[in-house]
Amino acid sequence: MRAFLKHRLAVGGALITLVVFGAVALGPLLSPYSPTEMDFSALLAPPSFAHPFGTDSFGRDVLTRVLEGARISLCVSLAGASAALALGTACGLFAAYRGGLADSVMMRASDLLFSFPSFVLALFLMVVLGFGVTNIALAITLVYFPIFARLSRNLGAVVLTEPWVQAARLFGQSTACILVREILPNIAAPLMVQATIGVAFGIVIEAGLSFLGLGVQPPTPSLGTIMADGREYFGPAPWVITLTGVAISFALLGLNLLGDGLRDLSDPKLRSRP
Amino acid sequence: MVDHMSEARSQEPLVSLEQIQLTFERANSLLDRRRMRVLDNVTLAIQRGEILGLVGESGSGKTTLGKTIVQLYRPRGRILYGGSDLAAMSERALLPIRRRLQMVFQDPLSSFNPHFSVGASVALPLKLHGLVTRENARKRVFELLEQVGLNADHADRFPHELSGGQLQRVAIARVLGLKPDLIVADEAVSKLDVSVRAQILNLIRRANRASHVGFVFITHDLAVARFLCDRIAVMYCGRIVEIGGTESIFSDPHHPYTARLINARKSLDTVELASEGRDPSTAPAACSFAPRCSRRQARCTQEQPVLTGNAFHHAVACFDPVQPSGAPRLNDVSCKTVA
Amino acid sequence: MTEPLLDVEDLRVTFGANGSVSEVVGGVSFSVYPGEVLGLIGESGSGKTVTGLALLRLLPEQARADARRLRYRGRDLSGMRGRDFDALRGRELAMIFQDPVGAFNPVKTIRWHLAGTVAGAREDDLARMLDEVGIRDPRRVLGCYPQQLSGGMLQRALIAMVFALRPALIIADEPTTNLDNIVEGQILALIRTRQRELATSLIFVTHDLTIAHAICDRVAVMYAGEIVEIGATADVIERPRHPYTIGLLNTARSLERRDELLFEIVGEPGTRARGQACRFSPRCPRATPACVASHPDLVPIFGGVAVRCPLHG
Repeated sequence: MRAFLKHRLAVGGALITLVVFGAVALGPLLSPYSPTEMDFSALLAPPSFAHPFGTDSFGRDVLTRVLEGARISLCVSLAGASAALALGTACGLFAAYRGGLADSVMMRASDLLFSFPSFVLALFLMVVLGFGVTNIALAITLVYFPIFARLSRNLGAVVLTEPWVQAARLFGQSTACILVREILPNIAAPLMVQATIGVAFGIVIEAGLSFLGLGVQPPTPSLGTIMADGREYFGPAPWVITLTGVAISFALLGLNLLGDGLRDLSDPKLRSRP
Repeated sequence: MVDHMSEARSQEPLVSLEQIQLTFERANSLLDRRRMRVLDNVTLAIQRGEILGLVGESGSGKTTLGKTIVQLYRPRGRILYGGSDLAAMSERALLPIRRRLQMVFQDPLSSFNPHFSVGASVALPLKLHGLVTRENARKRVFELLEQVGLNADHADRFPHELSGGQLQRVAIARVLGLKPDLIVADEAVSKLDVSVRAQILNLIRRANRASHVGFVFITHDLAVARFLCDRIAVMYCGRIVEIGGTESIFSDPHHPYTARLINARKSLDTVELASEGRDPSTAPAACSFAPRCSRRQARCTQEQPVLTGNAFHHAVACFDPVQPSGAPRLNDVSCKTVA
Repeated sequence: MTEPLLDVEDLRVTFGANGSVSEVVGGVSFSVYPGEVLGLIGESGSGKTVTGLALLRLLPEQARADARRLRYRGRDLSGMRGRDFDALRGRELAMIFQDPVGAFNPVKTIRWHLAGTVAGAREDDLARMLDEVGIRDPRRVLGCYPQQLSGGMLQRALIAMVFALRPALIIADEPTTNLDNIVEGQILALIRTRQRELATSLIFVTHDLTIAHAICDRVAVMYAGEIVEIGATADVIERPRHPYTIGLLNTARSLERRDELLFEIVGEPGTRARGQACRFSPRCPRATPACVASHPDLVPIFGGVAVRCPLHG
């Protein structure tokens, strides 16, 4: 923990992420506006004290919409990334332990999924599954599953060769016990790093899908739909799409710095303990 | 030591390996798969309570044989223990037996999960086999640690906080707690400092004398083997080439390889062994040591010699064993191996 | 008396991390003469390896080394600029490591490595270098990559490379610890032969008294970062004076004799007393109040032997 606090990037990333989470959680509650409330007297108003992000073509407060949209984005990508982490790790560890045919089949299936560019795959899944928030989460899960499966399988395969795992077999520990007690804690760090990256990408995928109209449907705000709106009247009101984009970048920056920091910290050479 | 041995000999062996074969496949590429015969027709009987040394160079198969005895590798052949053939049993059936055949590894640090305290690692196997309850687990762990010369405070330490010697003691405690019949010690003292080595060797000897737990002691250090072991088996290229009582082997080695091993340490002006490293993938219908042997004859390149003699006194696999002058040649003896 | 090739006085090495500093080598002094083999004997925590690394400026970043005097052939080493020292290190000072793998580039052949040490060498010369170190089939080995060779063969190749440089001083850090008995004997014989042929000075770091006895002209026994006994091998090993040296020898001898139980030195290697006391005193069977009262100096006894122990002057 002490080491974490000393790493400036990680702390910076964590702080930004916390700010984002806090704003997203509390913002819509504190905001005097509702995300769908329209004010026809202030259409496309530029950023001001009353409307820090300005208003859109329906007179809705953009900041409130952004925060609400961000909340949905974060929930969806957290759900998707967590599911991918859980399923991918379970499958990867199983493949590593069994080896042989099970391993080959699982890895080839992962490779197949992995060979599609992630956004294209997500697009395809949305078309097949239909629109909606849960399906976006599912798409994110499927896109990210192979990464976790492969990572946990490779890391797990290395840990399996360690003498303490062989000792566990000699003591008669069950497969499940070995996977959970002996292997999982020792591969957790790189997986967590990958998870933060997964959430960041999930946000991008969700925003992208919604931008194309394949994700969250209006009037529910989504970072993507806000940007789609803002694109249409970029000339008279550039702040909508710009500020929304900045907000997304800010959140991603926080997550990436946090991930970088965690990755650096999981490097045993940097641990100060002898 | 002689009495100990004669007593042991008259009993049924604890573990009996018969015609053990183990082949590893290494795939250099999809098409080039090399099969290495790592254990080649090994037959060995281990008596209850004895300390058997397995010596040889790296690649001889001694570690693999050790791991095969505890069923970390499943070979072809038969391994008789307690009336059953371990090699034929399923993993599930093996579970209750696992406790009796244990192992101590070469690197003490990597034989413990770094995420748990050593006390927790000692307690887990005890709990798994129902040897302790939740209440008395901690107390039993303290007892075991004291038995190996550590004290109760060490229980809550993590592996990286202890030295190699201390960790190896914990590893021995962990294994002794299960009250096994046999412990395979795989180069268990090789990575330790000289003074610590003495402490651990004494610990092993005391454990053996006190509870008659047997050891298969794998090492490449002959001085240590000579000190600790009742019997020695010399391995070369996956086969046992010589086996017998320690003193007999050391004072009167029969196999040319054994003789070389023993003389290697005595003086540093050694004769160069012809080539280093041989390819175990070739399945020899010949003595594997022949290419490096100065006593090589025609027969040695055509036939594989088998262990001949009494494995408790002295047995050797060689067509022209080294003899002290005047003694009769071993290959005149007609009895096959009584392993 | 000839001039020493290497003269070290009061070498200290500290490792500092995040505010806590520990002294790994504390005031080590010795000389190495041309053509002689000096053994540094010790266990974990003795500082023997760090001493060797410090001499060649191979310590990691968080280590600090300094010495009151550090002279090589009369030249001051501590003040030398990095560039000058690098030139010296490649040509006159060399090291043989415990694990040869780290000394080789895994994507380059052995031929490339050997050719790098001797300018203008032809294939025949390179093959002969390998042949001299006992590698059979040198032409095949020249084309191999490091990971295709066993530990013993790599160590031989490394020795070929190091001796090809014809250095004046080689530091060998436990070069045979990872090897089997047979191969170990051969490598040691090889090192000794080459050392004698070329009259190279050698600092041989080891924990094994038997090896030191066979190879070294003089030995320095180290404990907790200090030299506790130093002198001609025959003197130190046959008539040891420091209780630690005596303990090491007793352990080796009881192993040879095959006693029922081996002689044990009580405690863990590297344990040291704090403050002003003899660092070995917590483990010493002969410790007296005088041993704890003040830190003993390394005192010459006779004929080149010096001991750090209040029981001996």
